[in-house]
Amino acid sequence: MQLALTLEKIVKRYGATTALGPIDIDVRQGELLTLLGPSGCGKTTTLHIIAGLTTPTEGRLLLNGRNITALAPPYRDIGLVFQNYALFPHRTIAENVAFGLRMRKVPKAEITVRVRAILNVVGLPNVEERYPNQLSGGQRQRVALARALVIEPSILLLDEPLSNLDALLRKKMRLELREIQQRLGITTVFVTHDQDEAFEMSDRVILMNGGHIEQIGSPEALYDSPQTRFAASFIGEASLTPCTIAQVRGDDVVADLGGGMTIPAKAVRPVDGVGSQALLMARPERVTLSEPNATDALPMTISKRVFQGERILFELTAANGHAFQCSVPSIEKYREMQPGLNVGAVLHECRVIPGA
Amino acid sequence: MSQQSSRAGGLFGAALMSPIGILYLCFLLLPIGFFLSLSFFTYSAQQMYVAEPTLDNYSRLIFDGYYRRIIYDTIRVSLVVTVITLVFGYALAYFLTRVKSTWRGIMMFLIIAPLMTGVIVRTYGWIVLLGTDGLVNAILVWIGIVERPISMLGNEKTVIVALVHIMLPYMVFPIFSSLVAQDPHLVPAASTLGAKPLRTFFEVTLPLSRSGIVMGSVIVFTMTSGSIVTVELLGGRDMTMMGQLIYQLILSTFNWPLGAAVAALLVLCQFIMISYYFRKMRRAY
Amino acid sequence: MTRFLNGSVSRRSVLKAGGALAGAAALGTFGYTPAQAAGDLRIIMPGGSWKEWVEQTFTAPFGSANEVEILWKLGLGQEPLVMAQQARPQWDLIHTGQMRAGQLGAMGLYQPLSEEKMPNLAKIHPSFRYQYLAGKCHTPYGLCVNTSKITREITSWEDLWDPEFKGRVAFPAWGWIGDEVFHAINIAFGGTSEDIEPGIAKFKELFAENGAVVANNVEHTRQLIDAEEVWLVPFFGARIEQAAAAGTPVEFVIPEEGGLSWIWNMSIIANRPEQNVANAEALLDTTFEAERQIEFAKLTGYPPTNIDAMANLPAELKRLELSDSDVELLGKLQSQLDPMTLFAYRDQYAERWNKEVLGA
Repeated sequence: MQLALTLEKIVKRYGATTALGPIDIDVRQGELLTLLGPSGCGKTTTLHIIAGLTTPTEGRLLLNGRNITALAPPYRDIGLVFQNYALFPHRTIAENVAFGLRMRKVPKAEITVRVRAILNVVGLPNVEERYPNQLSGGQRQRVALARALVIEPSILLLDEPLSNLDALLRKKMRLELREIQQRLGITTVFVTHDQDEAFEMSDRVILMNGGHIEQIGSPEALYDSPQTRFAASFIGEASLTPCTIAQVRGDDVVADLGGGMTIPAKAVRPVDGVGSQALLMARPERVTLSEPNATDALPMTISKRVFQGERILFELTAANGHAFQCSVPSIEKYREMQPGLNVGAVLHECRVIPGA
Repeated sequence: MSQQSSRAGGLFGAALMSPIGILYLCFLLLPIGFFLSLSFFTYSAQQMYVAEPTLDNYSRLIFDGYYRRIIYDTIRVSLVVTVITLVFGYALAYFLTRVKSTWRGIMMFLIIAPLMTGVIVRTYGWIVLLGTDGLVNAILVWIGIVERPISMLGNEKTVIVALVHIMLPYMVFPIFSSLVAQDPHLVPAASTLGAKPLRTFFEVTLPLSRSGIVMGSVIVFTMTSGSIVTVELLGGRDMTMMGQLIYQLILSTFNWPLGAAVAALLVLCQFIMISYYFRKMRRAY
Repeated sequence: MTRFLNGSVSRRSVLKAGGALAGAAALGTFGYTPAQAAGDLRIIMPGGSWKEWVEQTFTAPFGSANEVEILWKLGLGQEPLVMAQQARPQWDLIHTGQMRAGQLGAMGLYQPLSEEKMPNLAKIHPSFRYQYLAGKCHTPYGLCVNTSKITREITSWEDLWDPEFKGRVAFPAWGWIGDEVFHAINIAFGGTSEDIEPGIAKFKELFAENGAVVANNVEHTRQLIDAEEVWLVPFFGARIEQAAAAGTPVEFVIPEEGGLSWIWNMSIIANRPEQNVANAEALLDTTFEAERQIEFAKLTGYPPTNIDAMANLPAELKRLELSDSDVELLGKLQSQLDPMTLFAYRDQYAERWNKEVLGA
């Protein structure tokens, strides 16, 4: 596997405050890698360091094996799409897209051809003579993408490019962006705070928090095996309950939640042994409901009901006071269930995060 | 914004503007119009003017080399002052956008501070600085650039220097606003696309500050071409501009028809410059 | 405004009224308010410290003693307003000098002064009494000499042309008082109000060859004097005294050809309502009183014109005392000027000054 970009022990400090790092990231050739995290987690700083807009305090950046740490942005081979697109308002679409090519002294005739070609790729023919303010948000987004892509950069950086679009368009653009990225096979680093975006588009996701990396992995791995309390709570919905390890067999464990309640689970990494503290994670969609005294079912009471349309969310409370979320399809059987009802709950595929 | 809503906005805007519009019409445009119309009346020593239509006032200004020279000097000096003020003003405005906000406040105050004193006081300041026994001469003699104090008052260069100083704030602020109004991501965007700083400036920052440049230049040109006191006090007898001529004709000679004709030509010059500038500013985006 | 346009007014008067409006607008204030009932007095004046002094010494005491409301219109060059309002004057008094008073008076714009209405007028020295204006003070005017730079004795206007003082002499701007000074000196050089050739030739030389500087107003002249930028310049005696008191080595010289003196006071604008004219005359009469003139002289440093006041100056004002020959010398040149000729040719004369003297 070839590495396109490597961040080695990158640190960014402002005075005495460390804003980022030290972090290490390897970006593989042709992949779409997402930096995911809440605002202030350092994802945009990381992106700006890659683009050269921010100078790291420590560490090295290697692009295709070349050390680019000290290079100014114009000399890096990188395309960047800004959150607000940053199109030049005084230039036509064609001039905007041609900008990078002109800076690279590409012959005029070739510029015309390449601009037209890339506008076709992003699905925007026949807008060359218009100005940015004559286009819709989605169209501008595509122009910004075309402008970054036309210079055929080694790496494409996307800074929350979909956050200024309305919800419907955003969903459509996710797929389109991913489709273009895969068609061109361009290595891409994508920054977002939206996990749906991250999951739908990425090959790998880097979850960041407070200036450091929480977890790196495929979307499935992040969802299925969060390694930290933050990862478990940030990604997807989860009921997190402190527990004690009661039995261990390989990565199969039994978690004791107190009050006689024990739940079989899988440890996301080896536990410290019987009696150690851990965190039990139960995903709401993996909870099934049955009669109060069914076998294997834990007796619980519905304490809250939220109707979401296609699904219904219940909050269940166990006798020992622990609460669990349960998400079920909006079918007749569940629609009739109201708070106060006693049910039996089965928590499938629970995970145990040791030490958290 | 759709066509319809922008038209409704226009109507609403017109309604909002109408009180100030009426005020301008009654107390500015009508009196000025009336005054300028005097330029077509005949001068009379006894009655100041009589209502006999004539073009003599204009032909006197246009065919007499003395007056033509004043008109030419006025336009020339105003253009020179505008261009110099633009260069310095742009640099200062650009610098202001770059400094930290605390320093920016202090610098802005320093730029505005001269406006708090009158133009006459500032002009006297220049006389003190540039006089034979003034600070500048003292320094020049001390350094040894000149042997004895040189005369710096009563010439065009001094007037231009002083006017540039007086006009600078009027140039800095429109440009500064046009600079801070720019999307801060445009410069990094250009830079990631391969534009070096100077190129980015000429390709992005400068063209996008055009409205500020035009506004500042229009204000400075108009104010300079109408200036009286500074030219009078620093220019001595070597320099006469149209403002002084108007002042003299209206308040001392009482030749209102001729004074009105000079005023009309001055307004015309300013109008031509302003429309030229605004044509330059009209933009497709 | 409607009042001007309603009714059967001639086209001429509409134009004049409009001119007044335009003039008022050009001068920054709006000059027209309906004529008041008896009990007010409307005065036009340039303003500044003079207005405060006049107010303090004359108008405020007069106003409160007689329950007359004093209204002011302040600004330079207000004569056009009076000219434009000829048919329907709106102001009672205008502060002016003897030259302009003579000019506008001859055009019927001002009312002649009468001893019958103003008994104190009889006490004004004849040198400071004109048909339309009599002084409440006068302002001796001659040469300001910097005694540390100029060691030889200065006696004549001719000294301005001394190449020794090249670049160090100044002359007042035409639109300030330069025109009157020019015309007076023109007489000294053999010209008349009709013939300004001698003056033009001499002053062309003064500017072109002796590097004269234009002094634009009182403050500017003071600056040129105090900075010792200029060593010899025509100026007001009292102002020269102030400069000397402030430490500048200057003295006031009345040239042997004759100095100048401005008679500053108010002229009565003609064709005003009877009550206003009576008020105006009553106020003016107080400006001719000896005691008030002495008070005014204490404020301004300008000598009084009332014979009793001139003869009985208090100790602190003794310096203002002028001998009979001094008084005669000050009036010598200006008394030979013909105001109406100068008024009729003012446009040509100003243009010749601009082109031939300054433009040389």
